[in-house]
Amino acid sequence: MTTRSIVVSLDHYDVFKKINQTAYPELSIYGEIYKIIPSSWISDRTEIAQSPFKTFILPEHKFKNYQLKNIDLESALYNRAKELINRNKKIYLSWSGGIDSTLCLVSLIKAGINSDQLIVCMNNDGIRENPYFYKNYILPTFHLMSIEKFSQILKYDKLDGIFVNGDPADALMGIDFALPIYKKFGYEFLNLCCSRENVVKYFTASNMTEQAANCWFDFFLASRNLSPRPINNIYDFSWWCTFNHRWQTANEKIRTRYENDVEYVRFFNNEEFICWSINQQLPKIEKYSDFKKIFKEIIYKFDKNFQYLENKIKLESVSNNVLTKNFSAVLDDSSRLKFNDFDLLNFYQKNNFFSDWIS
Amino acid sequence: MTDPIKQYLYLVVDRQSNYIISICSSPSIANAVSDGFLNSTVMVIYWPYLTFENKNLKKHGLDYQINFKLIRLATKPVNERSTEVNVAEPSAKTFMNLRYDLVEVIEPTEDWISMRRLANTRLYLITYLERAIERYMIKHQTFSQDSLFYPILHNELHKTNSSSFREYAEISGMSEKETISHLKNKLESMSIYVFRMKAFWEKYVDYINSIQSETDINDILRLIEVELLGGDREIDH
Repeated sequence: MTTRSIVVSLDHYDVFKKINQTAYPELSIYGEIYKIIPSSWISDRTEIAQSPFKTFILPEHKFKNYQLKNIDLESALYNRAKELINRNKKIYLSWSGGIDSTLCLVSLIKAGINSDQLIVCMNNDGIRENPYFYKNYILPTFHLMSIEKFSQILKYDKLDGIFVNGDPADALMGIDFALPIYKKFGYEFLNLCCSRENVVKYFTASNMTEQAANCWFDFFLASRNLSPRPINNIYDFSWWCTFNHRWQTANEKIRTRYENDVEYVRFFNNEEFICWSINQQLPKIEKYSDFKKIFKEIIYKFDKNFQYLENKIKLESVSNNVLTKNFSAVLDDSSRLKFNDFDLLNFYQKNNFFSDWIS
Repeated sequence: MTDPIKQYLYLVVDRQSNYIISICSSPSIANAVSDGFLNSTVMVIYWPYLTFENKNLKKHGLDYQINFKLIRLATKPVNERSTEVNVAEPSAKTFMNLRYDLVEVIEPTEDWISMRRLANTRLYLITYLERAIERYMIKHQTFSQDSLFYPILHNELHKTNSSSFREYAEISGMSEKETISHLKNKLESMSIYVFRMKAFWEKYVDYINSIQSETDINDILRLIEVELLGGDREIDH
């Protein structure tokens, strides 16, 4: 048994499968979450509900008293971009062509970034996702580096600047559950009361057992009283699950890709964006591409690309990851574990939410 | 260049018996399977599909009870030497006097059947591996002549004052600076990607060829997919 704890893991399902669950009865309930969240490491920033596996919440991600200030998103974007530019370091921006990274780049351009200060790290997948933006705003102005080359530098070399990406924009929008719920049950379901019945309905529709669905409902809402915004409907529930339980993964997952010290900035992680996120309510969604419309509207104001505004949907991008041999876990002392060295049982803690729940 | 469709069979042949170990869908798969069987070789034979359709041929990789021997039309007066590129049993007659032909083997030995079972498992996995790689590589194939273009691009990028980029820019409507930036990025991306895929291919061909009996192929398929998506897997041989 180790004294260390897990900060983030994206590759633990196969490790989990190796555990003899008859010896740890609560783990059969715990493992049901893989049917809904196959790879993210779930934690509780409030540290009220304990995972069966020792998890360390980094100081910057520990739960605080968040203010309910009304924040204008465009101002937050501008301020963040300006702050990065004023660091006077080279910025390596990972651009997938998707909504979040495009919004980062639009913000940097609007804040007046010099073309010599920015290197856009991308590949053909980015061009495919947003060819108009690439041809009109990236190619004529900025230095390019292939994302593959960039990942090699992160792994083997020392970066001579800051690494910036569009994380954790999805976590701000709370769309982790909202998207699949919308696909399964439609928009109206997101507006329904965040009741046990409704949440369990979603979990069991994803093939979770009834028992596990109830347990996970209790786990996700164990610290709801600490939520800076009321959790009234299913959309609020989706937001809370990410804001509290997947926030650390959303922010730290990149660290599974490299071991070196890198000055890494998640564009969307600062007080202003968090305050903005807390104040967000369920947006009007008429079609799938309406998710993250508020981000796309800002992009549209800049580039007038109506196609992208109306039709772009969130897509999972694997381009950055292909054959990168990521570490399976990052621990509290910043050490990394490869898959073959990662034994979840080393991190097992007997007193946990799930063992208490079933007893 | 525009490659014609060739009516070939890619065979892995046992050099002692001339029996067919595997019928493969590509030369690379055939070579990979052959690497795992001592005393085997790869033979590519002309096989006019529409003229001569043998339904059992299609089942060869799925049913180890279906077996073939490779024969060749023995030429007179000179008998050709049997080498690794001419492995087949000489025969006085072949179908339509084709150079090579396949004849069904009626009662193979138990040892042969065991080997075929193993071969079928490995063939399935290696074929899956190649198709998985192609599934990822296809996104980088954006021009029918890419296999010609990229080596040429590499050379042009190392020249000073290459006119090719100027012409490319004139035709495409980009500036010369944009052209060089755009193409350099593509080449860099593709190069690293292909290098990774080649290493991945060799690792798993090696691993699959170390399998000595029918095994749970789903575990191996999962390993392949997880690694392609960025997971780190060291495999015990």
